[in-house]
Amino acid sequence: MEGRKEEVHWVQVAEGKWRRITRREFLKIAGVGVAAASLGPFIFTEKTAAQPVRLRVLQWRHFVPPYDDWFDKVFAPRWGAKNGVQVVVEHVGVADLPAILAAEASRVARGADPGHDLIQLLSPPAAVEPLVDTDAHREVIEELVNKKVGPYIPLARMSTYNPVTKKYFGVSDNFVPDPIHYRADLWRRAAFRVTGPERVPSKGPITWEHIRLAGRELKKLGNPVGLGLSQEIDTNMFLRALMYSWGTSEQDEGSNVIIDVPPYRQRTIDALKFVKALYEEAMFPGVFAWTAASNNEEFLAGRISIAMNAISITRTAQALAAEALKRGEDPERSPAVQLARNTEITERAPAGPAGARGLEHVMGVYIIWKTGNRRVTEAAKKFLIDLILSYDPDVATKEGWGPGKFHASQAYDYPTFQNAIPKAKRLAYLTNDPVSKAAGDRPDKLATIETAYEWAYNVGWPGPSNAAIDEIFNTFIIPVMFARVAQGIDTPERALDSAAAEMRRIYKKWRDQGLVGGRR
Amino acid sequence: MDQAIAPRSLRRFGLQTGHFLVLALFIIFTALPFAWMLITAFKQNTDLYNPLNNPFWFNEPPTLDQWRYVFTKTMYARWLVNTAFVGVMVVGITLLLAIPAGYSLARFLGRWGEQLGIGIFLVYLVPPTLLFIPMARVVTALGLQNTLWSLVVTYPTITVPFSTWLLMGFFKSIPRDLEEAALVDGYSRLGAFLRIVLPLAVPGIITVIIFSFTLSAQEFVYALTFVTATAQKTVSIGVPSDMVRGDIFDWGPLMGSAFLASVPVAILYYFVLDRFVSGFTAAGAIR
Repeated sequence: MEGRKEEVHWVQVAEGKWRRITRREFLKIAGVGVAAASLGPFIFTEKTAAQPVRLRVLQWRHFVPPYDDWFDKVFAPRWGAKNGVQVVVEHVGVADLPAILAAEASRVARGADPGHDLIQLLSPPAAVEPLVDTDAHREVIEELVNKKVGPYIPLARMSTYNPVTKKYFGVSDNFVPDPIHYRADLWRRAAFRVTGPERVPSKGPITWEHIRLAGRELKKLGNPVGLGLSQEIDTNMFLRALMYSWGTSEQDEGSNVIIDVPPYRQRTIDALKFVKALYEEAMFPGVFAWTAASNNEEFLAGRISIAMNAISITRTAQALAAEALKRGEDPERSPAVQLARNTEITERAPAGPAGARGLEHVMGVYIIWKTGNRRVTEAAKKFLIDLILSYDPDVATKEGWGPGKFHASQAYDYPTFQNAIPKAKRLAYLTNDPVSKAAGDRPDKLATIETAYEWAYNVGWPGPSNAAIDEIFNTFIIPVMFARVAQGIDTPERALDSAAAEMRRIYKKWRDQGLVGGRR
Repeated sequence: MDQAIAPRSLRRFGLQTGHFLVLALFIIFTALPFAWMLITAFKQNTDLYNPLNNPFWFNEPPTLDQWRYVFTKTMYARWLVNTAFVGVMVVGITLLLAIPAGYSLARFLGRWGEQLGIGIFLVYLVPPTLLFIPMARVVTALGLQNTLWSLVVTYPTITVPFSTWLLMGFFKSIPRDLEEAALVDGYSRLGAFLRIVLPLAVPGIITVIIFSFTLSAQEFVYALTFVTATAQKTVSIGVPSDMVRGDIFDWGPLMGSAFLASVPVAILYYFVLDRFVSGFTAAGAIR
């Protein structure tokens, strides 16, 4: 059989040199050429110096939705356009941040691209100190203080500075106060029922003892106290606030473990006994299955009368009230409006025998990864500085950044550079709060959170929020200790000894790495 | 006579009643969460937060606000498409690798095949919560960070070992005589495999398809750590990360989107349920 004659083409293989190729060869070369032309731009994406800097920012999905709208659609793009930087913002849930941080840290440790350049975390990330650009953090803080928007409040410094290495492992842009929320209508009824030598003020609790005494009556009324005793963030905060108010803590100023060392040992045991009594008299078994959402949901559902939380409870109650008013409900009879009106926060943290000490609910801390890319690091620094300067609504307006950080967050983000928005401007907003007004609520309801500068302490007070404290926090050693005593599984002494032993093991690990001070 | 029939029909009536009672309880147990999700997705927030209200029915007029939120304030539709894309790709890769691997282990390696099959299955038991950090480095090295391809590449590390082990057992249950007869009839090994073995293994293959697709649709840890861009998320990560704000859960949108995402899977199960069940139970029954 005669073979089919192949069609031939001429191709130039070098200057002046041509070669004859078959139709099959021609199709192969053409196919490869087309594929290379189409895929090339995706495969070979070499960066050139002329390309604009790309700044990738990761942060939590903010509790206040308009804040994300402002950040993503106003501040970031306008700042990027002005500074010639392409800003890419991505959001994740707050609970997802630790896993992403761990994955990105492993990439930085290997010298690979972490995926983001700037990350906002909600607790002090002391353990990643070797992987972040501590010089860049220090420069941001110094520049902001030089711009006279400081001081960088002690709470922020203790949450981002390592006194052992003398380095900043992050820059805090905000903290969120963590007051007691209570139902004013129920509290008044309970306070009236507390008789005898022990009395409680009808205007809300001032001490932990008030909460226990009124809580007893509130439980009888069917609205118990709702303070978690499980392995979650709110429990961690509540129990530390209580311990610090009892004059005891995990560590001292020098990062020595003191929780079981006299005289702190007895104070810790007293705190453990108090929480056991508080649970038995004023709470319910559900607190052992508490989640981060429980205090909001139980309070808003009207089941509990007292919770400890950020102002998210008040804000959600107000949002529900505003919805009801929009539907035309009568404010005097609307359950949603009445709930919002009866949701109050305490002026300060409740006091214990050693003082009234509370904590931040969450600590906003930005980190810049140590990647060696100077252009990106410089962009990250400038972005962070301008973000903090945007707290001031006048600065934000002048720069074209919309309402600014404080107003956009509806006063949820409180500045750690105390004059980023001056006190007068903070109070001007808080005493005439537009969110409260839209809910038919008192416009100055949240003005008292301003006092948080005086009573909010860092996790690990009176020492710094170091890597050991971070691990103790994330492994819930303190909640487990209190829960075992409250449930009657352990005596206070045994639970304390067990927790202290575990804490010392953790401290040793981090001291061996040179990140934590102290010897005991 | 009548006296003898009466107790028998009474017994039958009792048995039928018991049967229907058990069935009714089972239906309530399985369907109630979906009904609750659907009702919640149409409730107003004030209805949801009032503890005196019946949680299983409307106490205030139903609203479409929650659905409006899902489709206008989030990228839910995009997440559904992403999930389907990843699922289809993972199913394809899994079948491409697990079918030949399972067949080879069942037919060519004798006793070693079984040991190897168990070894491969053990890989499946390593939890992703341990693997996500080293895997994050691999994804970066491949340049797939923050893309759906990172999931397309990593999910088969979970699906292929299990599917290989499952199919190995299935291929073993198909008598060798059938293949040998085909070989005698002039088929090549590949021809016998494609025309004789594969059609008999369809229930097993369907099981692998459903397993791989549902795993891709519900996996969380890899999706969380490899993909953070909102437009690149799958349903399993987009819904919890974009509909939970700090300690506030948007229950209406959460329930609506969870319900909607479960509908295609439920339909898939409905159509192939018999074959799916036989995929798990029939291994060894083909004689």
